[in-house]
Amino acid sequence: MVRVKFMLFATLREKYGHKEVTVECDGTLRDAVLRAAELLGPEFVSEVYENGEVRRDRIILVNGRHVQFLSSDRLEDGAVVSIFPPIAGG
Amino acid sequence: MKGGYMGKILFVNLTDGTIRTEPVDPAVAEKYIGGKGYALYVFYKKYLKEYMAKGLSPRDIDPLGPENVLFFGTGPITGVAGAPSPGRHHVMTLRSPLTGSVGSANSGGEFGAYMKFAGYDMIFIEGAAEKPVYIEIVDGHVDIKDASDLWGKNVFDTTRVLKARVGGKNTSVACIGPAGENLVLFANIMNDEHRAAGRTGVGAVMGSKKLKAIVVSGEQKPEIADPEGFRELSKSLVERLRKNPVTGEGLPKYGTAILINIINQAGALPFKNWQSGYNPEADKISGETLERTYLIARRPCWGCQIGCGRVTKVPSGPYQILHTEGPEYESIWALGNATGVMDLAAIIKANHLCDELGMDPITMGSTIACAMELYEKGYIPAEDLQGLDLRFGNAAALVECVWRTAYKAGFGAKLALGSKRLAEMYGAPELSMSVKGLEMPAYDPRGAKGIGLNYATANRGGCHVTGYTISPEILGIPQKIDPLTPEGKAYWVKVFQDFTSVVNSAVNCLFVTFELGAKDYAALFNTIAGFNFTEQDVMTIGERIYNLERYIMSLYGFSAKDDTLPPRLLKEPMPEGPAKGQVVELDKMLQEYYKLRGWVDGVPTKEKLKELGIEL
Repeated sequence: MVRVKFMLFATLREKYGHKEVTVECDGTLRDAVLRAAELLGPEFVSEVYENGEVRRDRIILVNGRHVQFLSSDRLEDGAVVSIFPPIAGG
Repeated sequence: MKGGYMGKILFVNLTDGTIRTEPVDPAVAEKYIGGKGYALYVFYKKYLKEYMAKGLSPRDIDPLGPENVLFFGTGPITGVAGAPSPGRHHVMTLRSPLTGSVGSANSGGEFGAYMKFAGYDMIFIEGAAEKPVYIEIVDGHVDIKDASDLWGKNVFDTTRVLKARVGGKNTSVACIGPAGENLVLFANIMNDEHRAAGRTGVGAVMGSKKLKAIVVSGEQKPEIADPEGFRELSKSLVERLRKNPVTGEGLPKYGTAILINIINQAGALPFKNWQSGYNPEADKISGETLERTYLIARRPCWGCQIGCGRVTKVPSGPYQILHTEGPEYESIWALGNATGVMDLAAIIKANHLCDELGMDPITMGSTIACAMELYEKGYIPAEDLQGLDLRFGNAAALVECVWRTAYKAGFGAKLALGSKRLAEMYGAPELSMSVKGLEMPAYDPRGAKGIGLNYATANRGGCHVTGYTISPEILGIPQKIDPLTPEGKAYWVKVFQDFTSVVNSAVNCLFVTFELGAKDYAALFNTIAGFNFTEQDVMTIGERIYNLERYIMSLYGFSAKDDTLPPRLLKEPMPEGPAKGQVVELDKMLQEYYKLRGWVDGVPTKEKLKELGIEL
């Protein structure tokens, strides 16, 4: 099993009442999200996936790299997944 | 002009007290809009050409001499109710005392709108007064008045005194604090108490002219060229801003400070004078924490649909402050993350003092951070510090440094020069994290390469808003691009720099561009002012403005040699975090950028200027 930490930011913190949760999963992002949804509620899956694909309108970082630029959805032990709603500033 | 403009430009000469007006030239407005663009045109065509005609070199213009010119400008979008975030104005100086380049700064609040209501689109201030004065502009009537009783007062007191003295509903004050009077090289011009034209030391230029304040008040309103078309357009643009999760939810709820965590998580939040790009404790000073602890209200600029401004309160403790505004993302970063101070109350206090005394918190925090590294590495001897313990993370020293700088007290006199001169003075120029003398803001380009190219080529120096490629590189707006590759970044930097030049000439808020594009700006200009612009016209205007500014800089001696980054970013691999091992591959991006720009040695060619319709 692989341990993965999810960190939530901005409105997601309020929505789920947690800054972070740690789960054990099979080493894929998809399974990690499903495990996190067991703690945060089933709607958490929809924060990351839409129609089976990773959402383009969320900022989802794995160890600081946007998921779009990762070659696979494999997660190493101790990986940190950071999830942000659309935000900006200057 | 069919609409959007008040039609009048004010020229005030403080040396001889003359006041005159000129009409806005429709042909110039069509090529340069207003605000920044129009100012650059007048800077070159009038002031620099006159200067050169006397056989003088622009390189000899003293930024703190009477030959410098101070500009306050609005554009056709400013002060138009129903336009997107129209409560901003742009300030320019012929030269910046901090950088030697063109001075440029943008501010929100009410001043820009009320300046138009007072009857003027733009104000050029020439010469210098012998004794402290302020300029009062009420419904088109202009007076230069004695400010002896105001000299020495802080920003808040000056503002309250003048607002009470002038009265009226739409009255606003832009002024300097003690920092501007004392010629701190990064002094601000503050307006509406907490809003700042906050970069490149425009407040020091105002101080050098002995100009304490400008008060504007009036009831006039700009006409709209196509009222029906504008009404429909406004409805649709405002609805889009409301529905956009950034402008409709993120910025109103959390303000700009929401960026602390994401930029840190991406490994690009400069920590302890840029020795790292990751701070494990950054959440202590984040927008989420600010919202939960010290935020008491929100304060939008005039007519703004977003409302990102923060009102905060530190109820007790050594940094108690019962009512203040901010801090913004940049202030929190510079005064907190860059200095290693993780006490949000101390950051709020330091930011409040920057507002009260009139200084740029980015350069202030960055200069203190530079001093901290100089001290920890043994370049600054303890005896120079008069008891200041300038170690990273010392909140008390941070707050102490701010007021000492404004009054040039002891070591504060050295901090008042900015980090470039400070680091040079102590024999370690490489520890100043600045470009062209302007301290870089809160994004480490080792974690987002495009912003590095922008810092290197931004006309005003180390500036993020000149070409905010963080938007696509980290925030995914309008699309996500890989932050760690240098490939393709030249294109993005050019597009952002050109488009931002239009926004700063419009003049309205850059934040609306998280939703709106050049096509929307064309529609705004056409319905408000009666232009007939296409989307491409808008981008060409931006490119024209950017090139004219670059050409003016070349007259001051700037060239490709100045388009660079501190060696730390080029040679020291990021030590930790998601960007670990990264440096900025600047040369590769620069060559591509110059090619796209049509510049040789960092300067537009004669052919390029001609192609853009810039007449020399």
